[in-house]
Amino acid sequence: MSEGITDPSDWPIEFKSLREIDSHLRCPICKELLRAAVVLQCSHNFCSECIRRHLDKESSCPACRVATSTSQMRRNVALDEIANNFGDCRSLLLNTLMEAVQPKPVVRPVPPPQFVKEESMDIDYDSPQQKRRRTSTRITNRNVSSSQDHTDIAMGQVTLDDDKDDDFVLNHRDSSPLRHKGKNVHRSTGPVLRSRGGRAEQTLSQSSQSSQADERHEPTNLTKQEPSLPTASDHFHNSAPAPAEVQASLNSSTNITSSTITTSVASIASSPVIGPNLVACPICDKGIPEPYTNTHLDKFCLAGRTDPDYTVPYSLISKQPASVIALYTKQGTSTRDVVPDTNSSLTKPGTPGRSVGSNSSTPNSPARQSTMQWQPQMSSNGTAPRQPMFTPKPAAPEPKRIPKLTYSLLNDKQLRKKLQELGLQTNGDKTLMAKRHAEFATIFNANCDSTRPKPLSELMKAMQVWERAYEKDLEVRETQRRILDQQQQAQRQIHAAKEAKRQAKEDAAAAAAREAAMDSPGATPPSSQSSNGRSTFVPNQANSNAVNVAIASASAFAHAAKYADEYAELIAEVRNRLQADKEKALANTTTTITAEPAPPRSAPSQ
Amino acid sequence: MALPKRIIKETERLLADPAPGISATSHEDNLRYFDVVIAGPNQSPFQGGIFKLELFLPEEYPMSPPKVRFLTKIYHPNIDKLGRICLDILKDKWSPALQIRTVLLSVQALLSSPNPDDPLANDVAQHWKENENAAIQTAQEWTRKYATA
Repeated sequence: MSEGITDPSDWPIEFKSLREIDSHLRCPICKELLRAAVVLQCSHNFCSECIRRHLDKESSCPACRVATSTSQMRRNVALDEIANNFGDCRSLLLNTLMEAVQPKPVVRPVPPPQFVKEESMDIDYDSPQQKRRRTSTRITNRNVSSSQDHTDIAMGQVTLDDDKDDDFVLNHRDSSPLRHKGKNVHRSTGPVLRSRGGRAEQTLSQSSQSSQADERHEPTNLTKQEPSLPTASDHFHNSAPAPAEVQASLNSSTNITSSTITTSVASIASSPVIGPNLVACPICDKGIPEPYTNTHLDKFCLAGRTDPDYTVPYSLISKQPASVIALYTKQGTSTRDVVPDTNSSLTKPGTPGRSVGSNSSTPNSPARQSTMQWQPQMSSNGTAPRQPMFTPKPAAPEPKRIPKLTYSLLNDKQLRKKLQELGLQTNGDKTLMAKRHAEFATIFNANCDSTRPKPLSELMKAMQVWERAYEKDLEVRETQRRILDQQQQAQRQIHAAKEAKRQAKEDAAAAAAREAAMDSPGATPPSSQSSNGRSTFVPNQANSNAVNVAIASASAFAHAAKYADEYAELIAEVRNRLQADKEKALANTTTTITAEPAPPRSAPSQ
Repeated sequence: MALPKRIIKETERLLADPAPGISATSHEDNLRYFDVVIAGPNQSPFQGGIFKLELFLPEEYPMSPPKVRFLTKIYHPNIDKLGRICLDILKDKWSPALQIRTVLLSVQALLSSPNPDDPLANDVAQHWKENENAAIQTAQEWTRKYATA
């Protein structure tokens, strides 16, 4: 296949499954890898833009013809991500595969590092074990017996540290609420929850991708946790939810880990306010203190960097008992200045500084776009400002779509206003404005469905391209129409000229007949039949001329005009002669001529 | 208008991996215009015939169907004397998920199973209904007469 054109058949025939995967990740309409995949009720998937364009014309699924409409389609986020990532690694994978296939045909295709999910069963009897790993890191599954204490844990930490895996460890004893120790290392995403009683160990290395699924379960956890949540004032010496033992363990664990976290401490020492009321960052989904949201967003998330201070997905934190969260918070702040949690928790993180769609490279920009809607919700929950708020991150509220308009019900002014509101051009007639609005609505709404939405500026660029194409199209149509007009005009003129010539011939024939009649008064004048028969030749000739002229449409007009001129001259000449004949005849004869010459026609108008 | 990727892709696939009994090549000066040749299907009155068609992809393709017409004379109840084809997917049953290949396969299938109940050429359909054997014989004659090189 040529450059930029990809097809399932690119894959070697040995890898039939890859061909299948490739073809299933393609939109049946555009045959490209799905962009902003949406699923219809009949479970067929399409690019959002393609299906929107189709549904504008017809209300049925292109694959199975089941009746459907835009309101029934849903984003298929997972499929979209798969298609996106497949597209990212496709050429690399294909090249690698092709190279590998050349020397030895049996090669197992190894996709670039992806997230691998592993489920393993433990010997523990009561706690479900779930383990997720990132292939790039290695976290050993350990059972810590009760006899082993902090030392072991610390060792475990060191191991983790060596692995450059940043996580924090929560020790949870069945009888006593918890022990905790933690550390922060850059790049880390996963916490390790461990039952000290040797019961269970839960290692969760959670990527932001997988966190979405977990969030679904949050609300139930939330309700359980909320009553025992520590308040901001006492979150360090939190005794209400967590027994004293926790404090003890906390202290000891902090001591133990202090050495391991020194590196990260240096980098976080300057970090701002920390409160216990962690909230999920709308972009990276890490748990962050609410007052810190702005700084976090501006300095890290929107800048495309990872915040070294807060690396644990919010969904994980929010599932832990309140005391654990308190510990996490403590851990995060253990070496920092603690700024009292004032009313600043009321400040909304959604500042105007975060313009929508300003940073296209951030993959999670839909979430970012939605922060505006999301934040007020959060603060409304926080009736008591000090109360930590564990608002579950709602399924990212969908950005507002542009509603369809019934253009026939709008007048020019209203339509122009609508376009103005969208920042679109307002020139042109109503048809153009309606088309422009429809086009923009399609690409905008399709963009809303994407997991990698383009910034508005790119949509505007696309609209400019569309405008140019439309203008060009219009020009082409206009030219075609003009050519057609010219052809018709030329044909009309030729017809007129033809008619004039025929008339002239007839006149000439009649005149000749008259002359003949005059020369031999007894002879019958030539029938009009014969003169007509003679003149038929001329229209034929003119016809073929007409065809030629029509083909050379540009010169047709001039051509026809020239002919018309010639004919006009001819006609004038004939007329003059006729006139002379007539006068002669009138002067000479007693009229015995039956066939009166037809009155000369006027020359064709130019 | 630039030629959509999909059309380029389809053209290449048609050349690289043609459907059995079907060939379609686009004109060099107009990549939306295809010369199509369909071999008369076996066990049909058109067996042994080589039928030429023209296929044009309108500007709106794939949102609107391609225009297909027989250039070779054919005695078929669903194909009129101008070569126009009565096939639902070329009209109201078009779907953008269809493509040139599927359209041509459908045309090929139509040759195998004429449908005189939904006629385009009324006289042929009448003939087909009244005396199918005679109609088939005529079709065979036409195939011999017009569709063999």
